[in-house]
Amino acid sequence: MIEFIESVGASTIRIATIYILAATGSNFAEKSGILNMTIEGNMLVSAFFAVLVSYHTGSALLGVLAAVIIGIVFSAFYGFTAITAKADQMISSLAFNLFATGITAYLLITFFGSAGATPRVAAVPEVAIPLLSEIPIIGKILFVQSPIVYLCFALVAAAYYVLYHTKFGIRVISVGEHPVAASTVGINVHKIRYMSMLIAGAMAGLAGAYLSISLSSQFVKNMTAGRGYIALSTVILGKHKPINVALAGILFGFCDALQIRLQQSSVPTQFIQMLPYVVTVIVIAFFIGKDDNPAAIGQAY
Amino acid sequence: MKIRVPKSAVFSILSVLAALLIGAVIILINGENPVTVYYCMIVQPLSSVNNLLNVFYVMTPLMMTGLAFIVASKASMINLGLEGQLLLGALAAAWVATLFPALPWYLYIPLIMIIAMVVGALWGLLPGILKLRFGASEIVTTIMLNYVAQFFINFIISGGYFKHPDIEQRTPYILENAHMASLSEMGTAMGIKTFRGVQLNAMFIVAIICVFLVYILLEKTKWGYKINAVGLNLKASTANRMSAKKIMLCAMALSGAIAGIAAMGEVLGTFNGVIEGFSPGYGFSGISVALLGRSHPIGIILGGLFFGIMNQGMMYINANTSVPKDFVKVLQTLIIIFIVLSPYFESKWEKFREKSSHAKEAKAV
Amino acid sequence: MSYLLELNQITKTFGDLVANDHVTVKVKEGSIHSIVGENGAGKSTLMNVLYGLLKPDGGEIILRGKKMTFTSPLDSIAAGLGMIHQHFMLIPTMTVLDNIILGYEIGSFKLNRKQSRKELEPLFESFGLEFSLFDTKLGELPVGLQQKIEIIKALYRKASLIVFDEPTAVLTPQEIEEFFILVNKLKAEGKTILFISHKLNEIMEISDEVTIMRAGKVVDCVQKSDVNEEILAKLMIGRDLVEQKVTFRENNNEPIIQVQGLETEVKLGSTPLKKLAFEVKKGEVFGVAGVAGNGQTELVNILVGTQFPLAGHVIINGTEVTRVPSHKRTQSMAYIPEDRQTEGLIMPLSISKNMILGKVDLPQFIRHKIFLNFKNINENAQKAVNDYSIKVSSGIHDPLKSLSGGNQQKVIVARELNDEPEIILAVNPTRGIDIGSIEYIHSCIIAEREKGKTVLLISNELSEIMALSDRIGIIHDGQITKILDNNGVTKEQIGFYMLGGKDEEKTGEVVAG
Repeated sequence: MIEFIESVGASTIRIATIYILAATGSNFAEKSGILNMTIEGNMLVSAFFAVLVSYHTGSALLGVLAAVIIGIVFSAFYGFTAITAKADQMISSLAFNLFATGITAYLLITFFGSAGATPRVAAVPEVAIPLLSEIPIIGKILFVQSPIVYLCFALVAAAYYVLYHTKFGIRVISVGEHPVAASTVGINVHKIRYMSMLIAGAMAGLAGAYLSISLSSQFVKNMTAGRGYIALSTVILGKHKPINVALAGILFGFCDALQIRLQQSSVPTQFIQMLPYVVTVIVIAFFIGKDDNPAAIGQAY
Repeated sequence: MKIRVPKSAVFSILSVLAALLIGAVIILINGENPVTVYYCMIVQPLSSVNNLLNVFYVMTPLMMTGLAFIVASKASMINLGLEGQLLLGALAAAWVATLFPALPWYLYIPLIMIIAMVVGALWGLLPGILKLRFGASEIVTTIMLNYVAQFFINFIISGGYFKHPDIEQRTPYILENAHMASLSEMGTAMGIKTFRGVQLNAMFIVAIICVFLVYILLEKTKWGYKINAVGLNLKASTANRMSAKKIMLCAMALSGAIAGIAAMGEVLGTFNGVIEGFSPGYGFSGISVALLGRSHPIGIILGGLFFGIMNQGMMYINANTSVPKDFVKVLQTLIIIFIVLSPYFESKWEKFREKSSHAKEAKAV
Repeated sequence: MSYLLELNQITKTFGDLVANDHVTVKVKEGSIHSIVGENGAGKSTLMNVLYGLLKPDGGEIILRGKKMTFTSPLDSIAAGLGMIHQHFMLIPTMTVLDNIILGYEIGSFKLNRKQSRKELEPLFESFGLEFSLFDTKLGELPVGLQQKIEIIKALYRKASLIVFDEPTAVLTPQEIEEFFILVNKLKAEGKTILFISHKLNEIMEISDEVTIMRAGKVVDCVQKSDVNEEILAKLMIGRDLVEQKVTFRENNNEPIIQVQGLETEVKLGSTPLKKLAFEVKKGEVFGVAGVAGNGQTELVNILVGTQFPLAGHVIINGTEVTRVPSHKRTQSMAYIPEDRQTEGLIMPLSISKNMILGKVDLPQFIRHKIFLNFKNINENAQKAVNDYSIKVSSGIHDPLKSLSGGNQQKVIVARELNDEPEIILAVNPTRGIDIGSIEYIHSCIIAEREKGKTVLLISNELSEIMALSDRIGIIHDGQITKILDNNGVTKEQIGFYMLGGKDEEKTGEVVAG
């Protein structure tokens, strides 16, 4: 039983990290008033480049860095579309995601000659933290993980601090709630939104790298498989509050972990695979109620 | 005679050109010659009558999903679940098409289509209800439900509940009397060889009729008036004696119904059933077609034609170059990105023109 | 006395519209200077230019003798300008403290809220505000208090010239009195005040000098002592104002609208109704007066059928309609909504299609049961455009958004009054439109009254209520607290009840706030 709790617990944290990283970043974009559905595409592209760079340099660290940079570039393009060009954010998000699906498949063949997956590359190893990892149960669950997982915990705390206790934070909230009011006190709405969007991009990039070269050690075609949309739901379920978002991420991570665990049972795999998606629909429908989006979300300024 | 081209059409065309330009760079990454690739993609599919007829075949599901997207979006519902509605409609059709060997085709095929429409409509209603009853964003739920539908089909087929006895990953062959013959097959039956290899079947005509009917519905009837009104201003519609919820749900159901029969040409024609993963993302391409066609029924036909040419052209690219088939998808999404950006460039262009005309005036003074 | 601020020959155009045409305004230091003009006269554009939100096409801004270029509000704030916008520039979900310091924070990265708070405490004291307010969510404050927060925000940024844009629109008569005292206090402290309004009585009460604008141009600049309200009105609209007022008549008819014991749930951002009740008699104009946000919205939603109450009844013409949604109502009434753009019209659609909004199921607009009868729809629109002299640029197929605010409102009035309804519900029917259109719409309401129709008029404009109503009900905090015959009552009397006054207190001192 303890073994079961440990393994499901550890894999919950392992998978939740994807959602938490992406959602915590995206929360900045959403708080600033941008509807950010591009997590899916952003993670996919950065997951690919993490592997590409790791493959050519043999360094997982450089792979992660590359993914973060790609994440930022990707979000800068989307930022231009949503902020400067004031385009329909939902439709353009969708287009960016489909672009990511297409371009990664294209580059996969171009650079690796494979239609399905890359070869295995240098990955980020798991690191057991001395002492802490020896605590019964919790040690195995929380402290034998990839360094990115530890970074993720730190980033959640940082996000909380930045959002509520810094100048930048209240400005982010103000441009998401009432951009006109923010501009009348001299806040550059576009600048704040771009910065928020880039934070979202960097963290989605990190999440993408984590997916491809930490959770696994290769890129598989379309490997995000809707996780970006689940991350989006994580932000909604977490009511745009950093700590709650992290908890929501753990819930979705748990679903996924359970799903993987159940695949070893006698229930047909395809049925089990539906689980995270069904849970997302149920959660969105029944546990959120009236959403508390920033007042100006999705509205260009 | 002077033909006035609407400005939106000009910018649709410019968006396509911009996308082709970036596409050329992407082709160069692969080390191929963009001219060759574009020749294959655009000219080859139009090089013969039969090729063109196959373009019609390829564009059929795209027109249908595009149409489905428009119907929902006019009522301000964003139906990203077309793929799932299409798949479940296809599965239902494939099942019904194995049941009644005695029915004549002219009753059977309509019956199958009605059932596929009902299934698609129900799957489309679900996110609609979740939104209106519980406030769940249809954007997330529709995408999630696509995955559910996808896994459900894999579950049914791979789980052996409805599977071809000998061939993996497909449903049993449908009955003869449920089959939609292609031009090629009709030709063979009549002893004509002209249409050899043409997969086009009657579904194309059904799609064109659907486009026409949706146009009438949206522009000429009171229901269309209400759908438009609710989509453009929900609050004003509710305050003015309209049942907005009912109208939005109807639009979602109709959208799902259209998506439900979008792939009939494939299911009842080419594949004689459902093959796992047979849809290369018709649902999402349909959204692109709708946007390219500026949400107008005539635009749908033109947008579908263009995407059809590209999709068909992919075959020739594959045959003649090393460019992966995903190239077309990349290009199509680039087109959409430029289309959503085009109002921005339009306004920049207006400002630039205003300025330069002011400058001219200043010079003249 | 020298000029603190000179706006010289400011010109601003939007496309073909000249919003400001060589506008010159000179404001003396330490004075209260008013700019008066109708909606659309160009006051707001001028203020946005002054504040750095809009870049003028021509002209200059001179502050304390120095030419300034304001490219963003930051510049104008730094130059000592404070602007109190008509719609407060505050963020309801943030605390009062955060709202005040936003954009003017102490600390380079981390917020030093403690320090800001310390700096603000004297200001709060001088306004007589509790320090506990710092941590209150702004949205929970009453409107009058929010306005004070706006003023504190400006003073905290060391503003010496304070611009008020239509500051009294959201206040009760008593709050307005209090506001004027505050403004005079600011003046006594040496601040210069620029006061933007279209309410002439207020201008006459508060100003030292008045600049009058009409159609984008300055018509005149006068000393208050040289003019009176009539002269100002004439300057402002370019002609004499036609005073329209109904004379009270006794009415012993049966009630046609009965509202009994309405209650709604307590929700953030809305005022719950508390056993709200009143009756409207057939053939009268019943005015509901009150400060915005006292339950009017909820009452209207229930009357129209877009919201259901927790308890209570709405009976129209003897039929209970409380829980009947709007699209199922047979006892329908004409509805002229408060916010025409969101509730009454569909802006992208054509005029003719807007003319059938809510009436598309009527047989005259339908052919073969489902098809739109475009011939009748167009004739209907053309007739309305002619009858109500709606100014269109090319015709009935123009999109509605191409019309001016006044003409948009006329479209609604035409549509709603077209089929001779027995009952008319009008909610702030003249909000934000030009005086010509206001006069026209008032005359329409009076005409309906003469025809024996019943009108329920809910308005925040007390003068409108007093000009048109037979009886006046005062709504306060979700209740109708008093019903008066409009037969010699005064603004002050009504204002007393609007503020929550009750009959027994009336003998004592009037308690404000």
